[in-house]
Amino acid sequence: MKKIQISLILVMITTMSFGQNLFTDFENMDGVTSIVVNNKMFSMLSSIEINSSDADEQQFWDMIKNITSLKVLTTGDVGIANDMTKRVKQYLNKSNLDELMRIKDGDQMVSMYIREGKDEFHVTELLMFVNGLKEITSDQNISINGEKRDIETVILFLNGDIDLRQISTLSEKMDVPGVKHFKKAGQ
Amino acid sequence: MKFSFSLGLSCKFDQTLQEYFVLNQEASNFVVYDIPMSLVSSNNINFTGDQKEAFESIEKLNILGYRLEENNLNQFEIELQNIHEILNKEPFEELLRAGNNNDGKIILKYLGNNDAIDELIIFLGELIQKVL
Repeated sequence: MKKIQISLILVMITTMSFGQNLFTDFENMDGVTSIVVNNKMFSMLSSIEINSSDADEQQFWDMIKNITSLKVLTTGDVGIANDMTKRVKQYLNKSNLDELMRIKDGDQMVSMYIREGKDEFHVTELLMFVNGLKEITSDQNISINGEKRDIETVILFLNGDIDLRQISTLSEKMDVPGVKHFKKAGQ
Repeated sequence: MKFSFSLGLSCKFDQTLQEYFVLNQEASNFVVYDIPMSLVSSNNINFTGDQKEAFESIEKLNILGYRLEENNLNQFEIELQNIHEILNKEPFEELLRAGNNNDGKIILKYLGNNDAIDELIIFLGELIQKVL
């Protein structure tokens, strides 16, 4: 019994650290833009007193508190995007995440994977992978520092105790391309 | 002219980061601003009560910058590495980091607890070169 426990823990550690590797391998690469927001930031944000009578807003801040980390990788480089696709596939094979949804629309692919938490509405890990965004973003004139950017691929990792029903609220507050698809997941 | 800034907003600096500040403030290419908050007037800003309290709790603003020129790029890379080493080693908690290799990076770390921040470290690498 003990052996099983130990190997279980080992498996968990390896799968967890693999996601970490996937992120850190791309994080400092040329042509990749990354964002990491840690739990401390979320708990500080949510500890700021918000006098909101809006129930949605209140739910949003309650949910924020339960996020341990948010990581985003984006790239406009097709080569890197292909690498990312490969690595995400590898990760998904090893990590036993469940597919929540997959949407394909023309060249665009949105897939979402989760690790179920305490009940069917809660997840401890969420991975969203969006590919083929170039078609949309090339028309949108997304510019950073005065230079026009194309975004081809977005990978989003969320860890914590996340209520799927709250995801749609979050998606409205975040300005990451592809996040609008979260809405469908909450339904 | 390009600038790269590391900015610390703090009541007291942890030793090694402080050492880095002291060690480099007179080195060439470095720019230093130590601003006691008493010099910063908040008269023209309309604060709410909480904001005013927060503003007044800031004791000191230490800014160390590196002036990037064509001939000191190598040294700049070394200093960047040094800074990252210091920031990674010390018991700073990371709030967030973001950016990319072209436009620069921002790292936000702090020392303190959930209710009060003793030090806030803002690191900007090449981020504001286009702003200045």
